[in-house]
Amino acid sequence: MKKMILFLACVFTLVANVSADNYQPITRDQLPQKAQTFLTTYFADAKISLARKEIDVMELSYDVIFTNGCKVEFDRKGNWTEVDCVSTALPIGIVPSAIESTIKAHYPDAKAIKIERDHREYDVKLNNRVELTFNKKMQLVDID
Amino acid sequence: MKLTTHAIRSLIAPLALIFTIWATVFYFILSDELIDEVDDQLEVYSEQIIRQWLAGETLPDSTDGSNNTYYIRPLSSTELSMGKRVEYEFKNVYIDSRREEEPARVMHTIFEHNDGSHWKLTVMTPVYERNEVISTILIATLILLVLMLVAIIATFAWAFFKHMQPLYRVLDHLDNYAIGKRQPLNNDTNVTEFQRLNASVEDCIDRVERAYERERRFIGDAAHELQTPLAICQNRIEMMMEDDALTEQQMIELGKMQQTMAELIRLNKTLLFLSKIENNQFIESTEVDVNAKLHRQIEMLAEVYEAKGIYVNLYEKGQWTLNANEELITSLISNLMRNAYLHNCPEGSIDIYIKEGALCVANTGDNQPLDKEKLFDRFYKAHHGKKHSNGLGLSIVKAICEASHLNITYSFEGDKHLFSVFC
Repeated sequence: MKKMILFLACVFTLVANVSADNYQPITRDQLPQKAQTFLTTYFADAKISLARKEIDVMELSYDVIFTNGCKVEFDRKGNWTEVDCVSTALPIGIVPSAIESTIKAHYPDAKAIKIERDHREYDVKLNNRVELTFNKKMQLVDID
Repeated sequence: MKLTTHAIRSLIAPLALIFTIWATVFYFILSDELIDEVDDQLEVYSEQIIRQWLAGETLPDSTDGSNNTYYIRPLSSTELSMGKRVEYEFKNVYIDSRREEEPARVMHTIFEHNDGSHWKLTVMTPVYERNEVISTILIATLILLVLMLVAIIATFAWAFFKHMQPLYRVLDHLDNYAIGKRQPLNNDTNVTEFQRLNASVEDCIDRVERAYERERRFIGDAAHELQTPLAICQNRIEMMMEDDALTEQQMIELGKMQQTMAELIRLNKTLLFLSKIENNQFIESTEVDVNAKLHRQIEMLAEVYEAKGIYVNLYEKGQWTLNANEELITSLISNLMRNAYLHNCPEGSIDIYIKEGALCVANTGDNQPLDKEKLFDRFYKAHHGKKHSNGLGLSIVKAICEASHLNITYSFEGDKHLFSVFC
């Protein structure tokens, strides 16, 4: 009976853990080293408004919001997964050069304002409301 | 208690426990997921507002029809040091559009402006249906839990009962088995354990049958082999008694010897007879008039036992004609009657009832019932030392009844021992 109570307690703890608050505020120092380097490289002048850690059942991710409205998301290792600058252009160097040149060729006047990546593809949003999808080899596969 | 009942009982408790734990976990995960969903929406909503506010864009209308509301206010440094940066809570909130308080999920986010000032964004969304949804989940989980338990137990009971059929067939077979009357065991099964059980039961019955057969043959053979030496012995004594040179004393002793010899021969004959009955050697059957046989036996035995002064009452309520072996029926009646005479008390009585299909013999005697279990065993004697009784009479009666497909029962009623033969 005692063992059973202990077991039930464990189950409840597990359940309680799963349901813990999804977002925890963090400071810049608590970001993975790689993410911190990324921030100093591309957003040296920007001021952080809010940095958070998102805990899900299976994964851990970070996001940083700057006082100019830009947002950067990192995965658990500190690799960026999304950079979104609402309406201003992304800092030069974030968008891979192959994609950059493709954009230049198709839309000479447009600027990339948002980029997302996962293990399969890149998604780039331009300020002329066009969304481009690239595969892992930086080839254009979809225009929306 | 039945095996099925046992198995089900031991199944219910662990299953109920496992299902209860399962249902509890399921319920909590689901109701948490419900909150998670709302929190995710609030998070997206608040992020959108913060970024638009920081970028200096126009903010969405605070009442845009989605029931979500928000407000942003500056924070003093003391409030900043106290409050958590991100915070969730349940709260009753006054909703303008509904003009009443409603439960709502509220999310507070503290963020920093470019000029270093801190601001707090509060977003909230009403959760009218949350309690209803949660109680629905609870009830559904409970109902499913009970249904699942019942279904599993029912399936188990059905499967168990189905697969245990060979066991019950073997048990029935053993119940119905009578020694010397073997029936084939029809119990087809492809279950190894039951095949083994079948084989063991068959093997066991085989051994019992062989032992019984050996014993039966031994008694028959022994009685048969004893016949000749006994007859020779009797003849020798007779020849010896014809010798004139014997003294009177010797003659008396020889006479006693001859009497004992005669008893021995009779006993041996009876044993041989019994063995013949058990070996079913009296095959031919005719229509036997039991009443007539009974009349003859009563007459004969009345003369033999005249000295005992026993009174015989015959109650003829009908005519019984039986298809059986004549010799056996005569012996049956004779042995029953002799038994009634031999174990009677002086000046006692014998009541005989006969009707179609039944014959009863009741006699006075010892004032206590006999042992029903041993009564028909060979050489059983209720009281030792009784003369003129070899202890085989009732064994013969029983053997004849079995050979002729009749039933015999014994009961002690009033002060009388009652033997009933019926078909």
